[in-house]
Amino acid sequence: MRAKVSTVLAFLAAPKLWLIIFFILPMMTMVLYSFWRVADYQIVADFTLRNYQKIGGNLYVNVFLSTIRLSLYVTALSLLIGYPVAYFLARKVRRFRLTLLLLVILPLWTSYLVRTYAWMLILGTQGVVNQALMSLGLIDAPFTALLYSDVAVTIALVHIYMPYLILPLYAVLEKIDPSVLEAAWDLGGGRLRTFLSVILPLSLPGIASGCLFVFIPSMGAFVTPELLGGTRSIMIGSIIAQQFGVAYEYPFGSAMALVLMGLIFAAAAATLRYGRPRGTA
Amino acid sequence: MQRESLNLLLPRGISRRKVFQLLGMSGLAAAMPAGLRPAMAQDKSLALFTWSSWGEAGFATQAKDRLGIDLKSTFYASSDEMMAKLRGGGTKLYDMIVPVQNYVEPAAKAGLIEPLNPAALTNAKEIFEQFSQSPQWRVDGKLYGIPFVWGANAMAFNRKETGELDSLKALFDPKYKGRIAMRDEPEDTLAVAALHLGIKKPYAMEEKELQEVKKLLISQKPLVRAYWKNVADVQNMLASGEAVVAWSFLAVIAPLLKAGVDVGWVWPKEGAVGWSESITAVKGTKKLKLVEEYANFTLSAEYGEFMARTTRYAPASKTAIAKLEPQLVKDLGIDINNVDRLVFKDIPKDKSRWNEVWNEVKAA
Repeated sequence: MRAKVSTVLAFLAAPKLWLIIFFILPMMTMVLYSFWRVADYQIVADFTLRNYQKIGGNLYVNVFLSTIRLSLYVTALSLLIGYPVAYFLARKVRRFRLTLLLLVILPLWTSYLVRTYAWMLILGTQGVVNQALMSLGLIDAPFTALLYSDVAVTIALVHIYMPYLILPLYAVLEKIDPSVLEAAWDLGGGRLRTFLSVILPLSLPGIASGCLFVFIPSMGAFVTPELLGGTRSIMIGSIIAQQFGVAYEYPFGSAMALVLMGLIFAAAAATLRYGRPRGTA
Repeated sequence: MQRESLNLLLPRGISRRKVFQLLGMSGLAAAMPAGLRPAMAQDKSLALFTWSSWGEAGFATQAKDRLGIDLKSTFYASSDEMMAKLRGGGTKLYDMIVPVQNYVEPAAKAGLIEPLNPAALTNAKEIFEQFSQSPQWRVDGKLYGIPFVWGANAMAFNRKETGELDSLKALFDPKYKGRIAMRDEPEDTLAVAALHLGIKKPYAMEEKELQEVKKLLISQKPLVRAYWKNVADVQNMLASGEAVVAWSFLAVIAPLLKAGVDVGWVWPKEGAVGWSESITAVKGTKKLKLVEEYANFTLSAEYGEFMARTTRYAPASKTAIAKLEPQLVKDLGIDINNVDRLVFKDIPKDKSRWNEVWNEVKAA
């Protein structure tokens, strides 16, 4: 019996060590830094709340709010487009399901940067969209509002993160027991009624985790807004990156990263709590 | 003895330096006993940590042929990367770096670089006084380098669309609404706005002037197509016509001309932002003498001429410039008679305030 316990402990030690080295230690370092300050290009270990007070100022609160807003748009759009795709894949397709699933995942094989740059070619003044619209005679002068705007950032983030929403949603939708649906029909539920009262509630866990997979990375995005964003598209990720780069303000950057993380945890907790399947007895 | 035992531990084909680089990346180098560090080696090699622009193989060949020095270069893409790697244990890996003048004071105060012996830099007399005498390369009375190369960030424009330009006014002109590109970097952009407002010493701005600069930059926003982060991005914007006038690096000009874009380059009459770079010794190098020898060589006319011809960067050496054809000097994008028009990058009076003001502009 004793030997067994120690074996189990030994097996547990590896993941624990992993967690401690790659998660807890860096996290603790960040917490410490966030209460320190920089003086004369060195980090000084004086306790201060100044970093957190600074975040409470107008400027950073507004950036946080606009980042949340943009991430919500991205999440909503991904859900709007991704749900039908996942539904179709899980419940309608039989023959080419694997191929189609592969097509959903395919973009993930390309670098994030390449996908971002690709949108420049598509949305630019001389880009594919404008050229197509012009040659069709739909517009006389190219749209300039496409590239370098929040629209461009939203489109690119939806494209980049949507596969992460489709996959969990697909997994949940696929598992719905057909007999439940048959019961709904037997009880006289039409297509819409069945969807709204049976399928949708049952797929809530998939929606919840899928939305989180889109919302969380969108909140931290900084390369895409920097490349595709307009003069107003400043996101919190860029400001954090700036603190660890140009500004050499690790303490302020750490504080901001922790606040961001807190917001994300709160969003995750809320979503997972309210995202439980309903309508089941 | 220690060195040999270490060599025995290594797989064939992996150099000790490579191992130290890997260790450095993981921050382990700091934990190594001093005797194992590469700097102990008595060979005539120098580990140079530098800009990717100095990656030209010719520099290594030249160092070997002329000084018998094995130049081993590793590269960074930005001053921040340089600082970050030096802080993260890089001082154990490199003998010298090539900083921009405004990073000398931070690096010196953070204990990352070592002063040079002025007497060893005999070629300094051939360098333009603006550079050899610059206070920015001296911290607490100690000399940390004398620049061998210099240039300016200034204005690039699409001649076909704008005609000749000579004033910063173009960057604030509603005529070019939606076709102006500015740099996403406070040290450049706040200084440009200040110069436009007639502020002579942008890096010494007080809060009141910063507020004026902020107001100007916010009013400029509707005119700006985008703020660029990487030099490749502004080059693309000028090439694709997204922008017709841009605050830019000189590096975009040659490729754009090659691509058939009729692009012009000008130091606006209100001023441009100057930079210079020098060989600087990394703190704790065991080869300070050799670093000084190489630093002195980079100040020679021979090095300057070679550099101008291979990289199209402008040498700080008077004698090197004198050896170049007038057309090439013109292509270097410098204007030695108007150096006074440059404001050399400096540490802003309150750097974190500068970053904040820039964020306020972007968030407005």
